[in-house]
Amino acid sequence: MPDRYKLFGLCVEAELSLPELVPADDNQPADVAIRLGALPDGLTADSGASMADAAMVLNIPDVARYLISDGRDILVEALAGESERNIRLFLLGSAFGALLHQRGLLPLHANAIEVDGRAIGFLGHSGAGKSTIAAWFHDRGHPILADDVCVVTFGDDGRPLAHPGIPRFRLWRDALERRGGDADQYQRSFDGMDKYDVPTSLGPTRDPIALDRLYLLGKSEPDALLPAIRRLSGVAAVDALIANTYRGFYLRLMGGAARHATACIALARAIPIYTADRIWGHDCLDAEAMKLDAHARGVDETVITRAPAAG
Amino acid sequence: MGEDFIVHRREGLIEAEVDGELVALHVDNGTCYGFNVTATQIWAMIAEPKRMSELTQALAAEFDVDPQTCAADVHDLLKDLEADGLVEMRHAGAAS
Repeated sequence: MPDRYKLFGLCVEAELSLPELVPADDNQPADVAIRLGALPDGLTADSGASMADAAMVLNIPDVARYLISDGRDILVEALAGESERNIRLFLLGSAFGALLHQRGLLPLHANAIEVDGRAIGFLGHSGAGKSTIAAWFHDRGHPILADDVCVVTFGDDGRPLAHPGIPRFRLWRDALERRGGDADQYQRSFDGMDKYDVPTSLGPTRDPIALDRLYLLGKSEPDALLPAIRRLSGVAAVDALIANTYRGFYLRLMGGAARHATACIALARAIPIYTADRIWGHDCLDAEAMKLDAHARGVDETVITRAPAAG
Repeated sequence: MGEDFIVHRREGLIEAEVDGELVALHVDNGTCYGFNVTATQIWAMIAEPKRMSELTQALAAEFDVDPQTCAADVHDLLKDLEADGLVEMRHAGAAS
């Protein structure tokens, strides 16, 4: 019997164990089947993503090849001797990203946390500090809704919903140690990488919750003139969503860009999207995250400006 | 008067109002454009293809500006929209 999990509201049946996911607790039919086996002959050997008819082939050198089809099936051909951790990283990352696009879902490149029953998302590319901020909120009692990928759908009333993703966050060794953790007690995110998977200790969220707002994480200088947190409107808001869609460039290969653009516009109309530029560095994290926390709990239009530097 | 054009909206665009701003999005390349007040008005006027000369006359009357200045401004704006792939301009002979 394959293992069954819940991810992004989908029931996932898998022939390999996926310990980072939440086990499915009901008997609903599987939406997604992950199988192990050889990919059909004649597919491209090019690395990266490419199309084979309507299916997507993802070729990760030295790790595995993945064939993603019909928004339902992922066939994994692992390289002999490759660690399951590395195979899972690309399976639950890029390969699942392709599958979500095939299903016409909107996967944002965002971490999401739960604040007072609402979802708050932090958008940004890899390295923007999504996990660092999510971890800060988690350590103050806010459950993690999604790590790195947050799927958004629209309810019957048109309001956006954020679906539970992977309940974990990933931190570099120094961030872990500053948090008081011992890196050696955690699983590395990838073999040889000094980044670690931290399971959430607050229990997973099982149901989708209303997405209240998004913050696009950026970096600012201490003497920045613009407010650190400011609302994006119109084009800037839509652009932020398009640019921060997880594996959005796959849409150029597989089609579906019009549907995706329509979803981004609908989301930009439905909720406020802010840029949140923060001063980087561990010494500033507390102060900067507290501003975000205050903003997320405050009224929509509150703009928090940084006090002018002395002198 | 210079040459006239028939102005069309390009296909493959998604448009919507977001926060009171008209946003047009190129499906092909994901590029997003925000329209200012004048561009928004012209966009509404070319829901059906229109001659540039008609657009100029209507706008000159509405904003009470001299027709020649208006013609030059409308031409420049349309050329910008054309360069961004938002409108198509087809030659329509000399303006009357």
